[in-house]
Amino acid sequence: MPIGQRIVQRYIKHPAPATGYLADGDPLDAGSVHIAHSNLSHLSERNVRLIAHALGPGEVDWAGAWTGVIDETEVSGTNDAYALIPWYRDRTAKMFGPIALSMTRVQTAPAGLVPRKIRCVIQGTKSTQASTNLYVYAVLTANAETPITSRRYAVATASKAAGGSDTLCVFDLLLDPQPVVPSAEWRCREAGSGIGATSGITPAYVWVGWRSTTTLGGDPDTIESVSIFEVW
Amino acid sequence: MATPVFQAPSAFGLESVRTGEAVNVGSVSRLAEEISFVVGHNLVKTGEADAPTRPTGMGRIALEGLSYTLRVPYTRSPGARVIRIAVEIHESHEILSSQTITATLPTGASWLDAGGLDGTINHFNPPPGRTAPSEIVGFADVSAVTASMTHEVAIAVGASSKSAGVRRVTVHECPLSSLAVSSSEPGWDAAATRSGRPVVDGGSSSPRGFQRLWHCLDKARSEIRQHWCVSGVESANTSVNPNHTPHFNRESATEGDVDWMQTARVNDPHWYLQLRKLYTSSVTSPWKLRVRYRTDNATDCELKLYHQGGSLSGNAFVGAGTEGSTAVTLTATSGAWAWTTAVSVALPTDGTDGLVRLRIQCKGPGSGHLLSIACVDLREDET
Repeated sequence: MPIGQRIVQRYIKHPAPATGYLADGDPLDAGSVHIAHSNLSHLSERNVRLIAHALGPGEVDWAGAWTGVIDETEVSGTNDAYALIPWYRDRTAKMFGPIALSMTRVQTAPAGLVPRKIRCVIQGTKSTQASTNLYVYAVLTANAETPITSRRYAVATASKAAGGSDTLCVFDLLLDPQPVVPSAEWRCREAGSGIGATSGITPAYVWVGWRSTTTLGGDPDTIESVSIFEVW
Repeated sequence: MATPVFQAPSAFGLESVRTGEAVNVGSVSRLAEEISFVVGHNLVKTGEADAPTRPTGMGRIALEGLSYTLRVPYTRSPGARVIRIAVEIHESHEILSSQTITATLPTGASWLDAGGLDGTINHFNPPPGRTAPSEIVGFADVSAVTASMTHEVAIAVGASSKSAGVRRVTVHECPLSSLAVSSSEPGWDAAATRSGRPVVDGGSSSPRGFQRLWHCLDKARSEIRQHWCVSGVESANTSVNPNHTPHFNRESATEGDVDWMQTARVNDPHWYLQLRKLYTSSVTSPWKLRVRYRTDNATDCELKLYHQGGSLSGNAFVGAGTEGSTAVTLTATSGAWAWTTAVSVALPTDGTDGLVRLRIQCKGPGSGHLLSIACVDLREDET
């Protein structure tokens, strides 16, 4: 039970403050407390955030994907699917964030805070070029380095093979992170107020990438939009 | 003593609160802890402005040497005190390629640490071929900012002849470590829930008491807003040739796709989001839609936002109901950039887990003229 129990899976509106309900000296009834707990649990679950909505580059220029990249090297024969692309923007990837991860619960084995899941929806079009595939990748990284070098909190991938015609593909990738610990301090308040001016948070970056096995001169694949958002 | 902000919600069981039995301290203190998570830790990350290099060829105006602005709409959450603004600049083949970057903050905000985003520093573009991003980060105090639905963070590129410009802007409210015991911060005094303390009425003007919880819950319900935007380049370039302009655009006066500056796309882009879905599937989610745009002549244009609830299965979207739409008139501006007034949008909540698909269509001014779009801003407006 990562989120507290609810009476029903909806928010129950209650009297506004200062309406005389629950005045000083009134008994605190169990029903009111149930509603408060239920509403809080509901908001803890449902206050999911939108992270980024962007446009894709259109045509995927895969033939030159590694050309000119100076800080990553193509390793032929690697078993790491997430090292098959250089993550060079905007030719083969996009990066969004950082986002201060928001948690669903604390756990002890293994110890850590469990972040919300993040959904990456990538719209592309698979071309008709025979015997080719369009691959898409999503990675949640611990810092702004590419998924090749950064610690990965979560990964997901999907692909589509060529069919008889251009095929609209809405790739649905779910990033389900492992437990994390706070790894950075962000300023959170003006100094001098006597209250903590920094906060320990777990920042993370969302990378989405793509790889096409189409060849130069043939019908290319396209990436048209990227949507990144938290889910409950 | 301040109320600590918890970094995770709790797995609370309702069986610990029973009719006829005293409400125990543990269950009441859980209320104070969890409201601090909702309004102090789980703060907003706004949408991002994204300005990849323009498609090349056919005389397209490049970002090199172009002065332009990127806008990130932002409405302050009730607990937020500080926002983190991060900017990435493009790489460049030019030696000494540089530009100033000037952020215009929401009214009432001030810099804690501008990090060079106040226009005082020449930022040099990195060489091409690097995959690792390089962020320029500033922190701004937003504690005096009202929760206006028209606020934004605008990042202006002060170009030089060799500047490559800004690639990306992202804004995030900084989670708090604690909430002040003050009526001005949306927390509930944890100390007031200790054993032996009377449960007083409280309210919006008191940091403790049970009615204070109603007040905080209402803020967490209606003032923690999802932000959605598609934001691109806004510049003074006046080209009305859709093949040359650096802006998202539409020429034709009939409704159709926007030129989103993509290379040979096949399908019109659609975007997806998951609503908060606070109530049942029959209650729509209220949002406000604004558009930053320019027309080059005196012809009114239109932007229409299409929305549909549904689900994703087998690489395809499956609609739950019929697709709805909301139109906003883009009154002719004859060459000036402007925001539209906000129009209300009711997003459907009948999709699986509140999933909604969006797409945008426009009517332009007609042949030889151009509608330019810099930002489509959609913000939740729960009441």
